[in-house]
Amino acid sequence: MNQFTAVTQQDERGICCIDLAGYLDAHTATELESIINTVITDGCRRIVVNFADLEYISSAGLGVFMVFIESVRADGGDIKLAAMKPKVFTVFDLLGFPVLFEIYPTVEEAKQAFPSLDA
Amino acid sequence: MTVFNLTTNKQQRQTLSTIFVITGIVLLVARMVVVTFWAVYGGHTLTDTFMVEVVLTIVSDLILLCVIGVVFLYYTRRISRDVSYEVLAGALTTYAISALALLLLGALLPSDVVDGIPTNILTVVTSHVLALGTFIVSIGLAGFLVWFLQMRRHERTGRYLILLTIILFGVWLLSALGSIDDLFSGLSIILVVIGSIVMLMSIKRLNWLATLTMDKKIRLLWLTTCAAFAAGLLASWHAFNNDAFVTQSAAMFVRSGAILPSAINLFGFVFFARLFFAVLASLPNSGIVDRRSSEVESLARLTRMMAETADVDTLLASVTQFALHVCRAHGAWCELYDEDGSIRVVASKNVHADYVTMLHQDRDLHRLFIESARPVLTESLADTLGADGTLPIRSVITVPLIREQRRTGTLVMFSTIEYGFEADDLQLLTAFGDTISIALDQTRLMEMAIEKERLQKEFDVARRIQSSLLPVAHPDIPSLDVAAITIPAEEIGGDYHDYVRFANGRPGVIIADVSGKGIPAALYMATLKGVVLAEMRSSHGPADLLCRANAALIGSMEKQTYITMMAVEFDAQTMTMRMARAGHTPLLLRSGTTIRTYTPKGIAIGLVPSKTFDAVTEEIEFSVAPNDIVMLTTDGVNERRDANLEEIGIEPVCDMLAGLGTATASAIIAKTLDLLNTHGNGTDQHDDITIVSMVFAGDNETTTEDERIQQIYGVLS
Repeated sequence: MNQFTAVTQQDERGICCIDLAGYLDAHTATELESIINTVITDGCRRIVVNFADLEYISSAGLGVFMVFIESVRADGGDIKLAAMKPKVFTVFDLLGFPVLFEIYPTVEEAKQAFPSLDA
Repeated sequence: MTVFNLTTNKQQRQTLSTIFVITGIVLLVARMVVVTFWAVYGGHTLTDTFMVEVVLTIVSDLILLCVIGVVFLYYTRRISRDVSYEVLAGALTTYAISALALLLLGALLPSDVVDGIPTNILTVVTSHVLALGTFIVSIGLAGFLVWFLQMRRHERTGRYLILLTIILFGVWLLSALGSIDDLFSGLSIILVVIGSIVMLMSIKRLNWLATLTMDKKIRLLWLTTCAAFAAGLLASWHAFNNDAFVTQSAAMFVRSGAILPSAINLFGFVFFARLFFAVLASLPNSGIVDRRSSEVESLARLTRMMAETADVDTLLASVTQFALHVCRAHGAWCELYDEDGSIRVVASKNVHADYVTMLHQDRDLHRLFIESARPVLTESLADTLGADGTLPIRSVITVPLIREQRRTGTLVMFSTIEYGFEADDLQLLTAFGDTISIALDQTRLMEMAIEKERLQKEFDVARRIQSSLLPVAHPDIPSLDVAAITIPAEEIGGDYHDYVRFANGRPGVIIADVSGKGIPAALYMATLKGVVLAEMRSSHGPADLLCRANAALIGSMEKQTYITMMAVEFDAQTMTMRMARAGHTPLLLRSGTTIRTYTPKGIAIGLVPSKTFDAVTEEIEFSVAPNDIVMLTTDGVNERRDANLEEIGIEPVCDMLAGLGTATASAIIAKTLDLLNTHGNGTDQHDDITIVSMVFAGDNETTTEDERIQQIYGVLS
């Protein structure tokens, strides 16, 4: 099984990008949950999750994003999802997640979607 | 070996003993009568007529044989019992008391014997009683000696015993011949000396005496002294004091008869003296033996306790008590360290728990208690730690307690004097520590096993409850053959299916999958069932039911949990189906040989508030024809994995449906499960699996309930 990894980097605009790779299931979901939690407690409210290298996502993995979305949006931020493989997107799509989350084809597009800070 | 066979039977042995005793008494009385008439009234000496002497001797010998018989029977009865302190002490006491009583009786009774002739009837009677007493005591002693030597025998014991018997008869013979020549008397004395040496050589294997406690050894010393004194007195009395009534009685009973008790008691004296010195020699190590035996006993009791006690605190309390009992400590306590670093005193003897807590405030003492990896003896706290000289605790042994390779506590023994312990205390407590650690591990395992069993039972109950939440019977719907199954991956799961009836009276089916697995998922599943039951009769259709479910559940669900659900409604008159989907796996429709999937818009329940949910949820309608198949599944079907974690996908199921022709709803489920099992190939089911299949029929050609169940379970097993 491909090892699950999540790497966070923050750009000059204050957008945190979390690069996911491997399998996201019930076991690794808690890992991702604590990573996102750290990002948020560090003060970041503009989050892009990069799914480019994620092979698989289970129902429990989907739940993780639900935990934070409300509070992040309440603070004026957002969690945007980007670069999903078709298989991963299908899972999101079936569940109706596109109603809840903004999903972009690339990380760049997701970042661009955040309004500039001066606005 | 007839005699031995006789003696193994208790009843026969008792009968035989009684016969011996009665015969002995009758013969004794007869002998007394003969002697009375012959000596008292006749005035003859007992030896002046050969015939009379022969008759009297034969009677005496018969009486002695009776005594020997009874003694033999008595000791063969005890042959199976080994020599123990109790047996030995009992025999010594009996012997010493009877021998001394006999001597006392002999000294006190008036004797009127002139030239070997008893002068009155009283003397006849008393002399006979004394003679018989002498022989009983001596033969009894001989019996005991033989029995004892047999019990502690070595390879030459048999030969020595035969030799001793021969010597005994030799001595008697020589003594009897002593009236002819003094040479024989001299020889008899030499034989007695040889006999004593043989006796001394026969006594072996007295090591067991060393294992007796000090107390018992002291008592044994006293008893052997008494017995040796009695034996020595009896031996010398018969040998040298010819005028004594006891000696005269024995001589009148058997010619030169006094020499036999003399020799036997001399051997007895040698035996008792040997025993006395053996006990004396083992005295100095009594302290060690006492300690060792109490240590072994304690370890054995500890092991027994381990097996019986499942509760750690009780176990440690008993252990502390024991430890205190076996070493020189003045007090002890047992402390446990909890995960958070707090210290708990579970057992304290001769010290208050609060005092122990106070001791821990001293950094050095605290470190000493909690850090030692092996049992440590600190002989003087004042010297080693520079501890406060006023502390009542002066020297300690700390024994670490290990549980699952983790230091969980310490057993502390203390003495109120400096250098209050010795090295062997430490050794013993080390053994204790190891044993306790094993016990702690065992109790933990036992606790875990009990906990596991308890959980398993609760899971069983939960599984039964959950399976009762799923429909057992399939509804009778005109033009529709329907079957369904839910197989949880674990004992309980989050999949759900049910048959419903909407407000318009039309039948419907719902299928749902709670995210996650196990107990949380099962609880949500049960909640959903309640919501569905409450809402279906007022729902106007599938989409309405989903919206109502979302509205009911949205406030009470955890953020990361959601439920995907699908509802379908069937109208038999128009042969149409209405459906709505809340994030659930698509619906499959097989029509002819084509497969269609229906994925109307919809979001899973529990994610968004009613407003958004109701706006998103789409309801669609499609027509069905006879022989069409509709299948609802959960993602446990298309995500069934093989050993390489490869998912089966929905395509094999679609292919199977496309090529199926005509089949019953339950047969379709059976075939689908077949596919999944083949793909899974024995690997564990990863997610709950639910399949609902519906076959439409123009006419009502549904199978019976029993057939359906049989077909489904036939595949499962």
